[in-house]
Order: sequence, then C-alpha cells, then structure tokens
Amino acid sequence: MFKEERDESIFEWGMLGDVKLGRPHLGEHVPVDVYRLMQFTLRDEMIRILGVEQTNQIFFAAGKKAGVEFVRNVVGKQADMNVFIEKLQMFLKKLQIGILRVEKADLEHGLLTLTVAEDLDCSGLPVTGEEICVYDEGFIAGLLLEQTGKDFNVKEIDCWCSGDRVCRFAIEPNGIEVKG
Amino acid sequence: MLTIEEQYIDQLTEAIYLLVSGKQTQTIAIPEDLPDNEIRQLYEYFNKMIVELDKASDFSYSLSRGELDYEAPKGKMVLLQSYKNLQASLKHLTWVTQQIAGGDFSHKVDFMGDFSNAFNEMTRQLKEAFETIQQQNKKLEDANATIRADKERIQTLLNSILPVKVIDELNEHGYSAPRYFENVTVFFSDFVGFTKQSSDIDPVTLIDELNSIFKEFDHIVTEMDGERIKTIGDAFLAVWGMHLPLEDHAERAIEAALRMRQFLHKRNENWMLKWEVRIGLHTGNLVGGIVGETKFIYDVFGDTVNIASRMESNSEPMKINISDEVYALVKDKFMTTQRGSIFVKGKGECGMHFVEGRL
Ligand SMILES: [Zn+2]
Repeated sequence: MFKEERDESIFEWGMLGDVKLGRPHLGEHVPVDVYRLMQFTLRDEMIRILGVEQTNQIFFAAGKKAGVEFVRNVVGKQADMNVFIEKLQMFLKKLQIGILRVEKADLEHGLLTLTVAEDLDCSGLPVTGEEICVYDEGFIAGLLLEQTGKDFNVKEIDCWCSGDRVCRFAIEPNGIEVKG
Repeated sequence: MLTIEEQYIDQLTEAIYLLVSGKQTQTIAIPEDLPDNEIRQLYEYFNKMIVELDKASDFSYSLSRGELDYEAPKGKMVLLQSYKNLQASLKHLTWVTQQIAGGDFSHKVDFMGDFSNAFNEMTRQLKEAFETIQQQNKKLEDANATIRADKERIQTLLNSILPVKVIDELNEHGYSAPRYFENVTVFFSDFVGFTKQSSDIDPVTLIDELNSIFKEFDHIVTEMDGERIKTIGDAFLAVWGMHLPLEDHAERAIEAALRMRQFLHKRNENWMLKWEVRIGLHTGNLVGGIVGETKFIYDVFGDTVNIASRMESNSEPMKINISDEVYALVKDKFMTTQRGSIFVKGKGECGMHFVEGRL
C-alpha cells in the first residue's frame, strides 16, 4: 500500500489512518515546526538529488492531489462557487491551515486573487526574496479542479519569503478541460 | 578618518527636515566629485529610502481615496507591506460585502479585531431583517391569494345574479341606470303540476330537481347568447337581444326552447321523477334595471313581459307557444300550428302559434 511501486497514484484518504484511535494520549495535533521540519528536510534532499525544477514539479503535483482529495473528503463539491469559497474558508480556518481571503473574484472569466494569511508553509520564514509556496499553488489548483472540473494556472505572486505578510495567489484558467 | 564637508551634512539635514515637516521631498543630487566613500553610500541609501517612501505615500494616498485597484508597488519596507495588507483586507471586505449584498448572508469576517464583530453582527441583523421581510412578503402573498380567490367567488356569484354588462356598468360607474330595450324576445317556462308534485316530494329532493334542470336551462341560454333574468319558484325567465344586440333574437330563443324541451324528454326517459314544462315567447320592448339596494336583483318590466307570461300560461305541457309577433319573425324557420287568440288588456286580440320543430 505505502511502499509498493506504482505508475499511477493510488493515494486515498484512508491512508491518513485513524489518528484519534492511534493517538489517544497525544491527540490529533502537532506543532507547525514539526510539519515544516518534514517539509523542508524533504525539499532539501529532493533538490539535492533531483534539482529545483523537478522538486517544484513534485511539490505542485502532490499539492494538487491533496487539493482534489480535500474537496472530495472535507469541503464537498458545491453548486455555487461563492458557497464553495465560503466553506473552504471555514475549513482552512478550522484545520488551522491558513486564513483564506478573496481579493478579487471574476467568476465569469475564472479570474481570482486569493490571499492566505498565517500560511502553514511559509509564514514567519526568513525573507529570502523567493515565493516558496509551491505546494499551496498545487493545492489551490487541485481544489478548483475538483470543484469546477477545469484546470487553472495558480501562481504565488507574493509570499512571506518574498517580504510580504500574506501569500497572494493569482489564478486564471489555462483552457484545459479536464474530464472526470 | 573621513572628513565631511559641512555642506553635505546641511543638504541631508535639509532633506530630512522637509521630510518630517510634511513637505515634498526629492532625492538629493549626488555631487559628481564626491568620492566613492561612506558619504556617497549614505546619499545613495537616503535616496533609495526617499523613493520607497514616495511609493508608499502614493499608494497610501490612493487607498485613502478608496482606489482599491491601485497596483501595490514592490518593496520590502514594513510601511509598504502594511499598506498592502490593508489593501488586501479592504479588497476582501469588498468581496464579502458583495456576497452579502447578493443575498448570501453566511459570509463572516475573521481576525479583523472589533471590526469583525461589528461586521458579523451587522450581517446577522441584515439576515434577520431579510428573513422577516421574506416572511411578511409570504404572508402578504397568501393574503393576496385569498383576496383574489374571494373576488373570483364574488364575481361568479355576481355573474349568476346580474347580466355581465350590468356588472361592468356597476364596476365602472357604481350604479346602473334602468334602460329601455327595443325588439327583444322574452322566454317564460313553468312546470306543469309543480304545486301538486311538490306536496308529494320532500323539499330537499325538489330543490335538487329544480337545480339540476335550471342548471341545464342556464347552460342552453348561455349557449344561445341569451340572458337568464331570474327564476320565480319553478318559473324561468330569459331574454334574447338585450345587452347583446341580436338580429335573430326570436330564432335563438325558440332554438333554446326546443333544446330545453329535448333535454326534458331525454331526462324523463331515464329518470324516476318526470317533469313537463309549458313554454311561452313574445317579442317586443321592455325596460331592464336593478331593483333593490341591499339585496338587488336585475329585473325586466313592461307589457312584453306580461304577454310572454300569458303565452306560457296559455301553452300546453311540452309545447312552445309563441305570439303573432314572434311568429312574424320566424315563420320561415320553424314549422308551426296556428291556434286561437287570447285577449290581452291594453293590446286587444293576440294570436298564438305552437312551434313544432325546425323547417
Ligand atoms: Zn507563501
């Protein structure tokens, strides 16, 4: 299941296990540093072996997968896009992933500008002039893909690491219809 | 040891003075002969700061005027970042407000201090007010539906009491004046032996019987464009050519009489209780108008009505008795049998004819 070779994704929500059952004393939460420790050591080793470009591709793809699964298992597909955004906001806050806000929403043309404050991945990181939330980019693309059935380009244009206080994502449709 | 010429310090001091006293500040022109030393570096950083501050003040000035689409300048100064954050919050609030304005009251504003509470409370109250209005609208709609239904019921009732033209007149002017009608045909019918039968049959059945027969009579009258004026006990009075001018009023009235007779024949074949009518018709002039104020009824008056009534009383069971005047109008349309005449007060001798059927 976890270690078998694969050509196609076999991820499913059940792989996350029953945390409540498994951690009766320690509970369901870990500090953010622990999450980041894993992400940034992983990123470090991946860049060393695969290079930056491929590492980013992998992070994006994994984020996208997560986004799709997040809609399927947590948010739920909504008939109305505004309702979807509102529910998403609520869950991201509840699960302490980040504070999602909408700066611009031109639903007719599929143009969105979203900000995530107190982002799980990057808030508080040293300012290095880079936008580093590639996993988030993928995550948002995955959310929108599952909700709308359309593929979106998601680009982080401001990040804590580039000196901003929020991560800002510019979103536009990339014209690829995705079936499924 | 670096020695500084006083003028350089003066220049910087002046620029900073302008800056803190709120005046327009410009970058300082760096003297060309200034060597590449710490002073030059200070100049350069100072100028850079002025540029960044300029961008930040332009940005903040636009925001203060509500220009939320102003493109946030790039830069790392905390001041600029804070304005950018403010812009993001304002844009988000704009979006949330638009959602609420669009009727989606489930949106909330988080992590914006007292403002969040105030805004969310406002949304809650808006939602409440909106729901109250919706409930009231629903009630109003229900009430309107009831009124509409009542109005329809009243209209139906009125239609059965008064001619449509008279109702229109009442609706428009609040009253309906009596009117003189020339050349109309009056129809009278009466059941044979009604008084005798009615003592044998229980009253409820009797009313049921009358109802079912008059319902069909009404139907036939309407079909033939006549107007039912009233029923008097077991008698039925209708007129052709009053509010709706008809050239063939007499022919239509006789056609209706034939159909009524036909209806009764058929009914009697299949029904335990047998009913026979006498029918009489006369053509002439009359006056029509509303009688009474609280319990009004539309009625017709004049010799024409009386003569029609006499035609009926001088008719025979299941016979249609018409006057000379009617006969003159329809003799080419129907087979008739000449009868004797009766004396009518104020008119003299009046000939009578039985209608046998269509020619
Ligand atoms: Zn970021």
